[in-house]
Amino acid sequence: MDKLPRGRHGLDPAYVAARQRERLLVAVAELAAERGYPAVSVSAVCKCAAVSKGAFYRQFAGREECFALAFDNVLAALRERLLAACAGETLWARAVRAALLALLEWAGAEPPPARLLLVESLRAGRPMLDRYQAAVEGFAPLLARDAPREHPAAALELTDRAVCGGVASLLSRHLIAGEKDLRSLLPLLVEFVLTPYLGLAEARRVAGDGAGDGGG
Amino acid sequence: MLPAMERVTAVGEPSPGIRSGSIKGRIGASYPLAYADQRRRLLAGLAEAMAERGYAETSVADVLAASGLSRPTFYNHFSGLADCFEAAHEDALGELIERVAAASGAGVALRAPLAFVAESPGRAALLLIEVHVAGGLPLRRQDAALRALAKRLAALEHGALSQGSAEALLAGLAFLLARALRAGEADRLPALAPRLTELLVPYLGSTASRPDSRGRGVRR
Repeated sequence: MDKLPRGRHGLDPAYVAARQRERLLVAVAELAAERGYPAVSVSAVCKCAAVSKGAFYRQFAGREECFALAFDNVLAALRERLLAACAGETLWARAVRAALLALLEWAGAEPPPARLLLVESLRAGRPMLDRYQAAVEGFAPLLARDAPREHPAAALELTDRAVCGGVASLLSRHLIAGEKDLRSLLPLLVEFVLTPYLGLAEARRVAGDGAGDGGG
Repeated sequence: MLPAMERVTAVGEPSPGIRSGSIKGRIGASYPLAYADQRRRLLAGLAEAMAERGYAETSVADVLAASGLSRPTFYNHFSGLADCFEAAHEDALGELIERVAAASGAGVALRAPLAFVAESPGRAALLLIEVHVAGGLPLRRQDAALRALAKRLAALEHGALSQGSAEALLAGLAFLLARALRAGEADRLPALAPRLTELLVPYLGSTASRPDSRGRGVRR
């Protein structure tokens, strides 16, 4: 995030624009996490990113669009991270557990993007709320892939969505409370997510099975 | 969407502080009732205005337009929009809690919020959508209510379910309700009761959940 040289510098305008865009997207996330989306102005985002207002409006139609694109970036990065985390697991329940651990580690290590995705997007107007809900539901097919379907609850499509919504809401509440040690939520989340598919007893067994995680 | 409201019969606006008792004479006994009626109309007006444009885009003027009352009347009751929201939110939360408490058994209690959202989508949106924009006291109040309800769920079936899972389960149900509201499908929620009850079974056991046996094993 180095600043670009001022004045005449001979840099490729496309390069400059891309760097400015990147800085604006980071700035909107940081400011929204710091003061809440409703209190974030375009001027503040520009100041934080050291970009002129003219340059801002060449990139985005307004605050909403800037926030929405930052949201999409964060979402894409998180998705990749969760997929990578469970890629090595052959058992479905272990893969879910690994993804949940990655989610908690991400939210604990990067509060601004986590707040943007799970807290501020609910305060940023109707289109953004719809985007949030669709994003949360977008994780349902990932969860459902290879999930055991023997239990009646696991046979319901709404179960996948309710589980994803529950995880997002719970995490959001802990972020709002400003809790730092989110990893301690892992057993609870594993139990909650696995129960409809495996039954409470088996879900609890996987949740309590911390051995072989390399400390997590 | 809003309950039918009778016109206020009183002439003019009541002064602040008149909440009960009766003032006889020119205006008649209906006058003190007007205060409570005004408040009810303002709360309903806020829900209606916010259902249309969302918290962030709603102004006191929108509440006035929806309720048909004047600005001085509004400020007789509330210090501002946030104050009015807090009251409307508390009112909706109170009704939801009452409805859930009146039901016996988790499976039956589940129908209460579904019916509430279907019957009063505007007021339900204050709980499911707008409270996240407002934050502050209403959000804390709602979180406390959710935790209390989760505690009751966790106490079912000899306390098999953990408090944390119960909270997450309720949050998951709330997510589905909020999604249905945004999708304009609130009226279809009561029909979801059997499937949602089935979702509760693994968490609460079949006795507490009272599952519906239709269509098991079929992905719907």
